[in-house]
Amino acid sequence: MKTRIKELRARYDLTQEELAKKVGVRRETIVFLEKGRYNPSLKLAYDVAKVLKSDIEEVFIFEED
Amino acid sequence: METTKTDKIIGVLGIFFCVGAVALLMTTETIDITIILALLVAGVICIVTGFSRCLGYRKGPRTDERTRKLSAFAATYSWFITFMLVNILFLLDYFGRLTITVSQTLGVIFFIMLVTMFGMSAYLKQKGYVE
Repeated sequence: MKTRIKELRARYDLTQEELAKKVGVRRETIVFLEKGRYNPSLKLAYDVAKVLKSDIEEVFIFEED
Repeated sequence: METTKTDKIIGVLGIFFCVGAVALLMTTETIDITIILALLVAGVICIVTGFSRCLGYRKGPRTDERTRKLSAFAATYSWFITFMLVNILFLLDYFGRLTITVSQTLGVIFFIMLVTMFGMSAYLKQKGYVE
């Protein structure tokens, strides 16, 4: 899974810490999300997309095996 | 991020442990010093953990969905390893290869439970995720 979190975060001038605080998770979770090393729940994906003012499909790019 | 109710409970529990340890030391003459020390250490750990957020040492929520998932997996692996160990101990005892008391068995099991839980938890947190 690829994500555009880093790019969108930069667009809205948000740090990992700020994004983590807004979605109510630990900063490490945002780090792993950005690296595409953690598949979030639908709720977390929705919350992240909402904070980044985007649709889930724009933020998280799922690749079929 | 403000101090949560859980943090406060842990902090207060720590104070109780410390006060209890001092009270035991002052009122009982025959008590083993190890118990007093264990209570004091537990108390200090609780106080530091409970009030770490107040002191600004810890930011963000205590847990989130990722850490909860990691903890659940760590507990599962720990349980499985302990289960295997209990079976091995039983077999060793059954075939007369090892003779240990109930207290020793419990000690070994508690030790393995703690070590595997912390070990798996640290490993999974360093890895970052579980699928």
